[in-house]
Amino acid sequence: MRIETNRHGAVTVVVPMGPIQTEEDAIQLRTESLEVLGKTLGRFVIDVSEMTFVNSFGLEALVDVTLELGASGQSLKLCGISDTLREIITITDQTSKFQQFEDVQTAVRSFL
Amino acid sequence: MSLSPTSNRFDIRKHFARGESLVAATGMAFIAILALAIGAVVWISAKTVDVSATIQANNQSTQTSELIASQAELRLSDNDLAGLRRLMLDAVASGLVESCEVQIPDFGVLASSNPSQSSLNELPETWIVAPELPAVLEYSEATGKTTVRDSLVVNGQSGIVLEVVTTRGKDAVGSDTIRASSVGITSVGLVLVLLVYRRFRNRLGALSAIGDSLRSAAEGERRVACLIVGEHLGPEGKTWNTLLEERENFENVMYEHEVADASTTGRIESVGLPAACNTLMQGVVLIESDLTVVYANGAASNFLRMDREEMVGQKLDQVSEANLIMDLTCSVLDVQGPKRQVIEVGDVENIETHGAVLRFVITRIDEAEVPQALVFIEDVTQQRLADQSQGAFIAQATHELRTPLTTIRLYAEEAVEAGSEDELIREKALNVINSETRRLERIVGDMLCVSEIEAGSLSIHPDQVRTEQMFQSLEHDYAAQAKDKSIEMSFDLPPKFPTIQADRDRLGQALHNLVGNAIKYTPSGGKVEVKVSFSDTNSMRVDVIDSGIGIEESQQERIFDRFCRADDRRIAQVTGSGLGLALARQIARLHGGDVTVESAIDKGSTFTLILPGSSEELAKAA
Repeated sequence: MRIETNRHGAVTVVVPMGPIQTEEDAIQLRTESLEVLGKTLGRFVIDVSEMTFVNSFGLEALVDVTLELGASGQSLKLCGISDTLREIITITDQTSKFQQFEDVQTAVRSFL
Repeated sequence: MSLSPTSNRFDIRKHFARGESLVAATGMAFIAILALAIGAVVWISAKTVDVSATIQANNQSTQTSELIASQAELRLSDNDLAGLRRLMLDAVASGLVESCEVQIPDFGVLASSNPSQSSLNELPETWIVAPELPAVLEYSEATGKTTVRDSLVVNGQSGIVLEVVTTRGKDAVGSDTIRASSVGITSVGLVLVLLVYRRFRNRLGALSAIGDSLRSAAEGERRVACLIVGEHLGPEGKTWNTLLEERENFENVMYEHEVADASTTGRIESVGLPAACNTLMQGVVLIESDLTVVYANGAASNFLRMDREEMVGQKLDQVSEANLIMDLTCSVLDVQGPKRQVIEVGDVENIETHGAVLRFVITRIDEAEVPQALVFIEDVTQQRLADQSQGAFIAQATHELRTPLTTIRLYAEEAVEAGSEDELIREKALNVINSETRRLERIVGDMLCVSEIEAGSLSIHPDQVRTEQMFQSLEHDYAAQAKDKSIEMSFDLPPKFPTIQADRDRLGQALHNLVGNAIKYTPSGGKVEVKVSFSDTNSMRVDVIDSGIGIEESQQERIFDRFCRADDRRIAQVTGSGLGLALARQIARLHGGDVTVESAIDKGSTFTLILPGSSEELAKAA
């Protein structure tokens, strides 16, 4: 799976370009997200608008990242969440673990 | 300690309620098995007795039959039918047999214990001779009677049959009693087995569930909701659940005590305060007067790039990043020095290398026995970048606004000075003022548009747009500007222009920004070409092609960011707000389309605006 990273000011936006359906995809997302976390001190957002589906491995990767952020009082910011992904997060009772934003601009603005 | 009288008494129910009940249940199991074994042995014995009684009865029947047969043969040889009939009656009267009779098959009964059965008065001269067969014994379970059939030989002729019927003796009845007893014993055994099974099932079910719960606890599960077992498992399950609840209550009480102790003593090591500090996005570090770090929260660990456990107990100069605030901390810890110091570390220009701009607020705590310093750390990178962008924008906007305003003022003065005497100068001045006013209007429009994007309220109002008119106006607006810069501008327009659904003003704004940019960044003598085409579905494609300075590949996506201009020294002298392309793309996307760029350094750039033709797509985008 291809994962793009863009800069919006001082905020890095991680964009997974497709669904997360395998364990390898999930490991890649977790690894790259944690790498960005380390570099930016947590000043990053995951734009999931292209991530049409996420399996349990992918959800676990996202939870791992938010737990890592939680150690420094932060939580993972997700933007562009599709209805499917929102439903997955709700059903698995993980809503409180993430900050959700409508779009990238709003998510980036939340760092101000 | 004295025991009460009741405590000394053996309470069978209490005894059974604890582990001893298992022993009792095991004993019951043994009794049940023993009962079943006894039942089986009795059953087999009864069966054996039954078989022996049958054999004995059969032997007796055979012997009686043989005795009667020999006497009957003697009487028949003497043709003494009366004696034969007396023999029959005597045999029955003796109780040895139930009934007996002598008959010749196909002729009739010669003699019978029941006189009315006899049909022949004397022995016939001849009868059908049948081969002599051994005695045949038949036993009927239904009647309990044994029938013996034997052939009699009279005067060397066989064919006369003796039939003797006897009944089973009292031994057989005795075996039935034994069998009934064995059934009773077996039934009792089965009932006991059932009781034992029920007892074991209930107790082992509870023990199994509690065992599972303990295994979960061993694996780290601490939630009571996950460790409790079903109430239906009996007193063991209920007691286990009660123990878990009591443990949870005990832990809660202990936690409350610890929190209360911490709040009364003010210790930073209390349970609640560190947890609260760890939820802060700001870093918190507590430093002793000897510059030893005594506490750091999670965010501080993140900002200072050092594990909390590693940081606590270290001198401040050993903590990476924090040594930058060494001097300030020392000055704050000095009771004669300032009580509060603020410093920002990092540079927004070098985020890649520094990572962040951190704001340290160092405050002295005088209330402690010896002064301590509390350091708050905040990541202000994005704020500083925003401040910088805002500053740059204001500078650019001021410059953009001042240029046309200055031009307007100068030409207005010239027109006033010329008065009515020089119509030519006045007309030229008014034309320039008009042109600059429109430029000013566009700049203000862009700024308003940006503020709408910032507020998230930018929207489009689609209407029927006559594209021919729009492009003619665009060509007219930029012809003079292109001519001034000696740029060859051309419009490649289609022969027929359809009417499209779009927001006329916003689309015009986007096209103005693209064409204006092309002229702005194309040096004198260059070329700008605007190619317009429509598909069958009326989707519009506008290519703005210039022979300008070009854009580096790494900058090509960045130039669509707001307030962003490419990092290129060649455009340092060219004024611009950094909004035009961002607005053009935003407007195109609001129409369901997009703006893209292809460029090569020193060869030029092609900006392409595509708008979808179907009204459904536009409606969806709007």
